[in-house]
Amino acid sequence: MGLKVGIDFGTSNSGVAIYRNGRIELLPIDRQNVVPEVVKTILYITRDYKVAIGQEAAEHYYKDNVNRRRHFVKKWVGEIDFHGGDMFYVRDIYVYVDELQPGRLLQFIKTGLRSPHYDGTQIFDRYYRLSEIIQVYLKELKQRAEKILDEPITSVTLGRPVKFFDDAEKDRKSENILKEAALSAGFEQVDFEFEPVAAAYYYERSLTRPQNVLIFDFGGGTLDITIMRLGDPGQRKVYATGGIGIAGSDFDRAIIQKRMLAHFGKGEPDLGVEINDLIDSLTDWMVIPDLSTPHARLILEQAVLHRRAPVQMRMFESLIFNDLAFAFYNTVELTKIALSDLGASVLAFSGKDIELWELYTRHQFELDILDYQEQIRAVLINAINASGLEPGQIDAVVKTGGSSNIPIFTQMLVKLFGKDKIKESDAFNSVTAGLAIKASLET
Amino acid sequence: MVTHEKIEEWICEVEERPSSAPVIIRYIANRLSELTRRNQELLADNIALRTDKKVDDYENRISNLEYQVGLLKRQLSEPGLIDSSSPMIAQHESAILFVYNSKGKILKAVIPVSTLESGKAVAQFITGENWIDADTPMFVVVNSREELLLIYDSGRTMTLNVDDIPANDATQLDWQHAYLQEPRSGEALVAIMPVAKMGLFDYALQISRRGFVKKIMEGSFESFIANNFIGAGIKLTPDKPFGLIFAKKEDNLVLVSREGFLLSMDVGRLPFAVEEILQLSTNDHLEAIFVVSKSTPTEVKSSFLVMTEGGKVINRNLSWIEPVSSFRTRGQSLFSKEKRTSGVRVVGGGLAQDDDWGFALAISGQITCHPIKELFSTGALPNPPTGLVGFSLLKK
Repeated sequence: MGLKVGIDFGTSNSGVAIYRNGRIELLPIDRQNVVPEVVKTILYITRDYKVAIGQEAAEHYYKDNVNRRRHFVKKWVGEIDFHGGDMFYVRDIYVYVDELQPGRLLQFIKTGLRSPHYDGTQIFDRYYRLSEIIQVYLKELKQRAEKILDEPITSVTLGRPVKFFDDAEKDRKSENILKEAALSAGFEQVDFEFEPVAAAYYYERSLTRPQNVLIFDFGGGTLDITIMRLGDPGQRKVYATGGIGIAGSDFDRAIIQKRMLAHFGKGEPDLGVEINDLIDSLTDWMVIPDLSTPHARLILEQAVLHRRAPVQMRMFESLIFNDLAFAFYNTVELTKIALSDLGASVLAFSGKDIELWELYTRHQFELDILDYQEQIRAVLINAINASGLEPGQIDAVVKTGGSSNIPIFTQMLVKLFGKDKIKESDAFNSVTAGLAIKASLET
Repeated sequence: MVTHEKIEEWICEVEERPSSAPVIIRYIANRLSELTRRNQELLADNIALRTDKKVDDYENRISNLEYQVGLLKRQLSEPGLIDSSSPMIAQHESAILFVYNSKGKILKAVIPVSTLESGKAVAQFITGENWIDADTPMFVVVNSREELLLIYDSGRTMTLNVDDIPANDATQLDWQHAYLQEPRSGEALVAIMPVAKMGLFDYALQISRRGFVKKIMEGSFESFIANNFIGAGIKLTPDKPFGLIFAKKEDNLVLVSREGFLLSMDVGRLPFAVEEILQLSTNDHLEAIFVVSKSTPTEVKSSFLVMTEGGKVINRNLSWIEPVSSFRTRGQSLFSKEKRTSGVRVVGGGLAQDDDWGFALAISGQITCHPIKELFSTGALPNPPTGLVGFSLLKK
């Protein structure tokens, strides 16, 4: 009989753990990472369909792509029928494809489960459905875990957000996609647990008496709130759950939109609609590979030639044509993380034809995410109301997930519950550890 | 851009959290100091431009580059000719012969050029040993300054300097004493190619045994081999990589098959994705590849030579070659259908001139050298051996 593990398949980071002999073992899946027990949820697939995940994927991507050459060829992808009045005609559709592209990097894979229209993506000659993309990632996680444990793994307890969608039908569909991916990855038995509930299991180990606990699980893709009775495994009770699709990646986007786009020409006069649309697209990392077309290069070169914001245009061109976008997004994220400890940080980024310097303060960051703060406060209040408990009846608030370290949200929790009730949990590993505990219970 | 609004926001931060003030001051001071240094560099550049010193600098750099190009041309012996198909060698150098097999065993023989004589046996496998086992040995001659690229059928590559491989006793070649670059499980070594001149060309052309070709831009190729992986370059499972050759944009690639079919195509027309260029019969596969450079001066555009298994020489002027423009064609026939039916097969070939040398590896395990001038005039190897396994050219 094979082993059973817990896997936290997160939006930004993932992890694998096993509970045995009364101990939680967090597996060092990504030995190249600073914290080997945390593996970035990124996937790199090369032209010959070799797969890398985590830090290896990032390094492979950098090595293959930064400052590389490109060769665009026009490829026929299909045709569109036009019907109008008594007219009917067919038009061929072509796209420009970079023949020399060595691989595709996929990030925020999990957000696909929250997008009702996302079905999958073309990777060179193959179309990958969302479940297949996730399967490739989970399979690699499984193989690495088996290598560490030196035993086959047959079952898994997978974490999932409290809600993929408000609509129950859509929510079930997303869970099924995740299940299908896990089964195809080679797990024979798959069950699920809500991520904040898993974090609660982990916290429960430190309790000596029963408590009402609010789990504030705030990661890269979602905020999940669970209010539970913990401390007596026989009397566990979920009072309420709540959540919202706002988290770390949205804050990164807000920083880019409000602070970075000006460096690439946003707000400069005479740039035209096309260039402004291109600049606006920068907020979405996933579309950046599609921006590097010959036409985009042409209009940017023309802007430089006619001295329309030439420095900004040259930087923009460098960002999209030298595949620096991934590094740029990482820099933005690191600047944001630095603001959890300091009142100010500098977002400095340089590469070929590009140099950015932006002094960014915590005050500015809090201004930039003000709308989100309001929404998060509302979700938190709703969850407390739904639990039927008063804030005073909640004994502890457990923070988990990278975004839970953002000071403004800690302050929000302190104001509502008091400083003494706020408990720090392992920001990146508590969900993984809790899933391992749950997996052992299922066994 | 530092705007008034941003400065106001920084002040707000300091008002909210006074502890942020020293952090902000430090960041701004560092930035100012950096910008001051850069400003001074730009001012110095401006002064240099106005006093013509910069112009002198550029002129010096141009002269230096011109000198390096001159050196390179002299090194390659022939003005205007840079041929990637065969190695070039000076009189004082040694020819390096490599015989290798799919298991990664490599034998090396070092033959000083000054000792080459017509028909001389320069190397010999130990007699009596069954030196050809399951797969036919492969054979290549390079000069002593080459870098070697080992290509495995998985698409994995490895670079080695010629000196990295220890020399064997040329008179007693023996697989038991071979240098071993063992392939990984399920892998086979398929080619050893000289790559030192790759920087002088626009493209690397990867060619499969079944006539499939993939064009790789030189810059990408360098990064591929830095990653030790260029891809298998095949589309059909039974196919295997044949080799690599370098070319410029305006050159023509020439492929020669074992059954005597030759195809030439403009490098510009070759695909970046793997495509079948030369359509071969079921049992046929490539035996020789070379590049005809359009920049080669007319006086050295002599001819090409193809060696058959029986030691016969087929020699044609380059003007005989008719480049094709479409993929999947059968190419030109080097000899008649009757000869093909009777078993005439090609074992190697390439561009050749009178001063060059040819090296023939016979089935007996003997490697002999031959001046190309003699091969042109006699049309065959002296004392034709019972069968040749390989033939390689060395330019002088």
